Amino acid sequence: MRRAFAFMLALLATTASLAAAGAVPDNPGNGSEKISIKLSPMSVEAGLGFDGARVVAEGEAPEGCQVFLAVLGEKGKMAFSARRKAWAFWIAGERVLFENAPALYIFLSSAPLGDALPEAKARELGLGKEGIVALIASSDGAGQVLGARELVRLQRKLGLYQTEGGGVAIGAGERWAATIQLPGRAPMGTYNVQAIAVRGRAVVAIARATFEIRPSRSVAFINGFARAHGFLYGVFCVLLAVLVGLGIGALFGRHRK
Amino acid sequence: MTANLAALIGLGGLVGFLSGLLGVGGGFLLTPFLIMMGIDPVVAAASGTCSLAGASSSGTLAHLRAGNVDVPMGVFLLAGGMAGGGFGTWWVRLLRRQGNADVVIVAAYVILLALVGIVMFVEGLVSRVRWETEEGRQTALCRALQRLPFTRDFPASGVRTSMLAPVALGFLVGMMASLMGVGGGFFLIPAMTYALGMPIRVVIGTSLFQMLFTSAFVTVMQAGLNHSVDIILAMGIFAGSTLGAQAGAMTAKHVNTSHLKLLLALMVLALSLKMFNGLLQSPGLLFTAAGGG
Repeated sequence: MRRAFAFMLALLATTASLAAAGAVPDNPGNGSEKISIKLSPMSVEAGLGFDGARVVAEGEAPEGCQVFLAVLGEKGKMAFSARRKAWAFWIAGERVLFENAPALYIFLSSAPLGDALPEAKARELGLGKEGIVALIASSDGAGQVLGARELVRLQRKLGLYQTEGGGVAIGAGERWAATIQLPGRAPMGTYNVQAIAVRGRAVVAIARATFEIRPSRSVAFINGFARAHGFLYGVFCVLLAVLVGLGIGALFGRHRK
Repeated sequence: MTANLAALIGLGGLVGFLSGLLGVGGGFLLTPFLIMMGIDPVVAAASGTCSLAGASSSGTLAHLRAGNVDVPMGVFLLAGGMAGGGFGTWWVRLLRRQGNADVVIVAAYVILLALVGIVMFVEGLVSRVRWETEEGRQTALCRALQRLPFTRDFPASGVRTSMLAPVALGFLVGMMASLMGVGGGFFLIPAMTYALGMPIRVVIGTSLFQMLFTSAFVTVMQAGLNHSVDIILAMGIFAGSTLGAQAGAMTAKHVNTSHLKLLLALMVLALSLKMFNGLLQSPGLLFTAAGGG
């Protein structure tokens, strides 16, 4: 009896702490409706000359729901310099550091975000342009909102943040599907994908899944070698270039003769 | 990697073709095109330097075998090149940390492209501007350099000049290699003939000799200090440019290139103006990436 009471108490405490931390339950509606998500492939191999990849996300949504998808790369430190004008030229000035910005962000949707969700809720869930700005600013302090907005603009220009939405199709039987287009610059690591079902301007269900981008053996070897033994890697690059140069020279020299 | 490998080979091929067709070095075109493709200017320049080492290797060997390399002169040029390359790499590291590497590299290219464009344009108009002096004839600059300290004879070139002159020339070329990823032949060849009074026979071989070793040194420094050498990028543009240069050289036998040279000169000048305009215009973004730790 005492043991059962302790178990109930622990369960209650866990639920309370989750609620206090703002954790979003997977079924925020009445709990009976669910959205499913399946990613394919779950592991993308980035080989030599990697110039992007596609990951297909699909699943089933509750009836009459719109589906929103947010793909977030690993969070980490990002350093930027704010530009300032010196004479006629724009040069780098003060250094700005973001501690928790995702390396990549892709937002996809089956309907315009503004029509489907209240603005505050979309921001809270980190959906769309304002959502990712809020997400970065909240983890780096309220004073960083302007900076976060500029960071999002820069990352959008680099193709690392895609905030326009669209791209989610809902078909028969409430099956939904979307293609996540990863850019060639997408860094290696684990990516979290969140599928959110929305109806009547309220979140009905949330499902999460992950995929990874991992380097191929050759890329892993070259990256590791270049990082750990930079000078030796430089010697290797020179030797390779010279050998290929001599080979091509000999080939064309013989051809000319 | 931020660019498609086929696109890199294609770009290398185009630049190599122009280089082979018109007899101009292609390095000064390659890095600006890579920057326009969205490649980090520091990576574009460093990887370009690596491909230069490959491109100059077979030429150097051929000239060494033919006895067209003034090795002592090459060693002094190389000493300056290594100092300039080392200093340039360190400077790039500093600029990268500040977030100013892209601005400085683009500004350096604005000047370089304007100079190269003007020289090519004049060369195209006046059918042939001869940079080289007649063998044995010394310019006023040659005589001025002979009055500097540390003079010595360079028998293979048949000149006597201060050792400081090739070291200073090499220093400038090394700086250009690390900052812009160019071999500097467009600058070194006229300087060696006009300022040092070397005969054209040894100028080409000696400049290739110093280009090979300076670019090799700069590649190692860039890889070690800035982690900015992308071997796939370097080999892609190298493969493309080598094949393109062969095709260009074959095409040149069948077409009159003087008008094309004028056209390329105008294109180079337009590229310089475009890059200059980019420096002056208010940036769309208030941030720029700051790297290098």
